[in-house]
Amino acid sequence: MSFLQKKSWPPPLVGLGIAILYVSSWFLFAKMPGASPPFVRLAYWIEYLIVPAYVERSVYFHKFNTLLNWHVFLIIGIALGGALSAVSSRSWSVSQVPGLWAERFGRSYYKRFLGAFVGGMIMIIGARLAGGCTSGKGLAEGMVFLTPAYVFMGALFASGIVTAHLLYKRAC
Amino acid sequence: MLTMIISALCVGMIFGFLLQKGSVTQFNTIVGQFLFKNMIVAEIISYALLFGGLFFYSIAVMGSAFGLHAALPISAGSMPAAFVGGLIFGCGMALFGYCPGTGIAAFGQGSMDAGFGLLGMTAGAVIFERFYEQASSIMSANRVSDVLIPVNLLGLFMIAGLLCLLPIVFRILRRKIG
Repeated sequence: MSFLQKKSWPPPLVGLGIAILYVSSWFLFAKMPGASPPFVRLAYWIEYLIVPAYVERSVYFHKFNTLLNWHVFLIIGIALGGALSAVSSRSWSVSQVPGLWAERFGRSYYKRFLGAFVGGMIMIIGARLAGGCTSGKGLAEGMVFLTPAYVFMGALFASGIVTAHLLYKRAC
Repeated sequence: MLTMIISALCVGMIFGFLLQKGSVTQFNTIVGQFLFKNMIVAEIISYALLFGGLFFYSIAVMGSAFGLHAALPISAGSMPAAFVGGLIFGCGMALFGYCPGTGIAAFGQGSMDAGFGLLGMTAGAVIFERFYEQASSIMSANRVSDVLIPVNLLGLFMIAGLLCLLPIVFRILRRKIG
């Protein structure tokens, strides 16, 4: 079995790959990857179709008013890359309810989809407040050892650990 | 325009590929990390940060030795916003089971639940915009661009030293959680 067909790679190698990718992206394209800003751009365009007068006055949306943006194409690439990797190991499949979730909350699609929706909603609010997510703040700013990136990651892990124990611990 | 699209797609595809191969596009890996059932997320992040730091600092330090100035991606960020944002983010991430980047890659691998999280993220952006005025007072407070490790030869050695320690640290951690 070739290396590319393997289902998973060792974490140090994945970390090295991400580091090379970020450094190359910075010196070649003057961009650091970050996955959360495109969702503000998407929100802008959806709202633009419904309440155009409101979004045109918005101070925040003003900075996110086009979808023709490097990070928008980046996240399209991320989805394609995830698909390609799963196909390469012949593990691409449609799934709805992850194992650990099912152990605690059952096999209901609706419960899981609602949980994911609410989780994503809370998560992006934190990301926009902090000024980035795991990729754009934690990794991109963490690689040059900026203090706020480490404050963000510390708070993220602390609250993630507490929340996960409260939510899923009974299953263990 | 075309270079912008192609460069972004290429970086994104490699990133998504690496995340999927790293298993961090699995709900069980992310939540399992928070429950200390595995150490994959912490391990990938630690290696990425230290290897990334090693490359950035090497380029900056060696560049300056030859009289060249390599600009690093250093920007100012608010400390209280990073802290409060991190707390909110971690809470949502434990419920969603992915972070924004891994959620997108997970959707690509066929995890439909991740797709609903991406919809939730769009809804969250709508909500955040409504509270931007209140949030901006936190976001403009105490903005710093201090680095924890100095950008010089000593800093470079510190990063290299930490990188050498990582395999030992994670071997101990993995043994501890069994």
